[in-house]
Amino acid sequence: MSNTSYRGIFLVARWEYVTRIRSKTFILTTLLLPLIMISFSFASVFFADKGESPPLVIAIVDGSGEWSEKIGAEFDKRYTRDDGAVSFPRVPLSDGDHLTQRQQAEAHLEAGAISAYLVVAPDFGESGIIEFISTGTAGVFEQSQLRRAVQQLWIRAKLASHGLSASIADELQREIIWESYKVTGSGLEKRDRLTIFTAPFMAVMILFFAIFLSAQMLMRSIIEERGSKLVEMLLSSLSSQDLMTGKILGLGALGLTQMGIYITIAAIMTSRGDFDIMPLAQIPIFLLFAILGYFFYAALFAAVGSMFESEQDAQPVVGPITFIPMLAIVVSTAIIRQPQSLMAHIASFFPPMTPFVMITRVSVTQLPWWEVVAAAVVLGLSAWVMMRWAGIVFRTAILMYGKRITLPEIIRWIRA
Amino acid sequence: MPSENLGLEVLGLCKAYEGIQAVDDVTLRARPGAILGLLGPNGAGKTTTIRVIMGILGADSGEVLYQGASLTPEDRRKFGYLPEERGLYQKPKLVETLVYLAELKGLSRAAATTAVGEHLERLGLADRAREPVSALSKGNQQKAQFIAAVVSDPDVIILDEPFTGLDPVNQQILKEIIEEQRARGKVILLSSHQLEQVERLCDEICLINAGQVVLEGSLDEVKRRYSTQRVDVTFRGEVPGGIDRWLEISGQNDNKVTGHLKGGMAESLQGLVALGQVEEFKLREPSLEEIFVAVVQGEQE
Repeated sequence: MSNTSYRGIFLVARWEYVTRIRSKTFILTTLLLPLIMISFSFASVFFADKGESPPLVIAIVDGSGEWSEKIGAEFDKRYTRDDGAVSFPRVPLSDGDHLTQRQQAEAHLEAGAISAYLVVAPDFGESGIIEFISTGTAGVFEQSQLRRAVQQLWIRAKLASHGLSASIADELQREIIWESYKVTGSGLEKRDRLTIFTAPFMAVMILFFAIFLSAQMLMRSIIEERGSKLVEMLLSSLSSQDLMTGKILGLGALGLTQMGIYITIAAIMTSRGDFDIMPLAQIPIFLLFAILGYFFYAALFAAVGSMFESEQDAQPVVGPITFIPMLAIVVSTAIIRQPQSLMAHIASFFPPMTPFVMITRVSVTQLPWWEVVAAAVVLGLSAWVMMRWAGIVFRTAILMYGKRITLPEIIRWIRA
Repeated sequence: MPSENLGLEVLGLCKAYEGIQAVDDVTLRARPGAILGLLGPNGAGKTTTIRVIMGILGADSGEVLYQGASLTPEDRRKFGYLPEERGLYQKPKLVETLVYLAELKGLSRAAATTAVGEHLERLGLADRAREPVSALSKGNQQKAQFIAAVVSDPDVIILDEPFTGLDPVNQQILKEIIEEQRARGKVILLSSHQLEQVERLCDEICLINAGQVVLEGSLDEVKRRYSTQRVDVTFRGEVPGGIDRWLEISGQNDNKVTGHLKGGMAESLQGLVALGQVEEFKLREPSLEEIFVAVVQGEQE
C-alpha cells in the first residue's frame, strides 16, 4: 500500500480529535490534573500561613531549677499563636528534686494533664542532654520548634560563659542567606527551594499525563474498531498505515491541546507567583520531547491495542508498559538532585525514559546543546522504528483474525 | 475483448486457517449490472472469500482481479462493503459516523451529508440521525451499516449476509435498493446462507460448500439444468402401469405422479402418452435449496 492518502489521514485524524475532545473522559482528565495542582498549591499556602496546631501542654523537669524558667521564657518568646496564647503552655512542677519532679510529670502525663515533658539533665550546661517524653501527640514539627529554642538558649549560655554578650550570641546564631540562581540564555534566574524541586516535577507530571492519556485513547480506539470489526470497513477505504498514522496524529493533537491547557494554567499560576513551573525559553524543548515521546509511546500502545479485541484482554500488558514511565518519573526525581550523574546521562539515552529525564535535566541544569540534540535524535529514531513495528503488528494482527496471538508470533513479526 | 474482463473476478482462491482448508480453489465472477449470490451453508467459506476480496485476509494462492487487472487498494476505495460482523462507533451520532465513513470513501463533506440524509430518509432512520449509535436497535444499526456500504455510490457493492436479522419489511427495502443499484450497472456480490431469501434477487449464483464451488452459473441456466429431470405427470383416470420404465417415481398423489425422467424429455413424453391419457405434464422448477441439497448429496455419493 504505497499510495499514502493524505486526505484519508486527515479525515481519520480529524475524526479522532473531534469525537474524543467532546468525550467525558477527556474533559474530566483535562480538568482533574490542574485541579489537583491548584488545590495542592492552595493547600500548601493554607497550611504554611496557618501552620498552627493546638497548643501543646508540657512540663519541664529540672532538678537544678536553673533552666526551666529560661527555657519556658524562650518558648513563650518564640512561639505565640495568632490569638496571643502561647503555643507551649506549661504545668508547673513543685520544687522537689529531680526524681520527685520526674514522678510528678509522669503522673501528669498519665492523667492527661500534659501531652509531653522535657527532662533537663542535671549537667545540661555541659552535656546539653534533654529528654523529650510524650504520649505521641507531639509531632516532629513541634519537637523541632522546641529543640531549636533550647539549642539557642544553650549556645547563648555557653557563649556567655566565655564572656560574650547575649546580643553577639544571637548574632552568631543567625542563619545566613543562601540565594540560588541558574544561568539561562536570558541571564540569571532566581530560584527558591520550591522551584528547584517542584517545577521539574510538575513538568514531568504534565508530560506523563499528556502522553499517557493520548496513547491510551489511541489504544482504546484501535481496540474498539477491532472489536466491532469496523476496521474491516475502514480498511476498504484506506491502508492500515494511513489509518494508524491518522489516529496517532489526531490523538497527538488532542494531547497537545491538553498540554496547551495545562501550560496556560501553569503560566497563569507562574504570573501570580504561586509557582514557577517553567521558564518560557524551555517550552520549545519541552514540546520537542513531548511530541517525540508521544510518538514513541503512541506506537507502543497502538501495537498493544492491535493485539487485543477487548480492553480487559489488553490490561495485563498495559500494566507493565505503564510501569516504565512510572519508573522514569522516579528516576527523574532522583535526577533533580544530580542532573549530571552517570545515571542521568544513561537514562537520557534510554528512549522510554528520555522525554521525562531530559525535561527534568533541562529545567535544573545547563546542558550542552549537543546532548539535547543527541537525545532528541535517539528518541526520534526509536519512535520511528517503533511506529514501523506497530504498523506491522497492526496489519498482521488484523490478518490473523480471530486467532489468539502468542508471544513467539509477536517476536517473529518484529524480525520480519 | 474488454467486456470479458469487466467486473470482479476471483481465480483459484485458496485459504487455510490452522490446518483447515476454508476456501479451496474458488473461482467466481461478478459482472456489472448483475447480482452474484455467493451462497452456501454456514462455514462454507463465503466470508473468508469476501475478506480476501476486501484485502482483510491474505490468500494462500489465487488472485482477485478487477476490470481485468490485479485488485489494488485504490480499487477497493470504490467498493462498498458490509462486513458479516456488524459494529459502528457507539458514542458519536449516527449521522456523524455515516458522514465520516462516506468522506473516507472519497465524498466531499457536503456530498456525504446530502447522500447520508437521503439514505436515512429512505430507510426510515431520519428521525434517529442525531442519536448516538448505541441508542439504536440492532436492526436499525444494521440498516445504518448498510447505508455506510452503499452511500458513497460505489462501483462494486459487497454485502456479507445483508438480510440476517432484518424483518421482512426492511428486507424488502434493502432488496429494492440493491435492485436499483443493479439497474445502474453496479457490480454486486452478496452472500447468504438462506438460499430462498435471495433466490429471486440473484442473476447469477455461486454455490459453495466446504470451501469448494459446487455449482455456478446464471440462475435461469442452473434451474433449467436441474429442472429437465423432474416432472409432475397427471393422468386422466388411473395411473397406468409400466410408467416406471420412463420415470423414477418419487411420489404419487391419486392420479398425479412426481418423479425424475430416466431418458430424454421428448422420448419420455411420447412413452408416457402411449401408456395412458396424460392430462398434464409439468416440468418442476426446483428451489435453489433443493438443487443445493441434490448437488451436495450427489457429490458425497
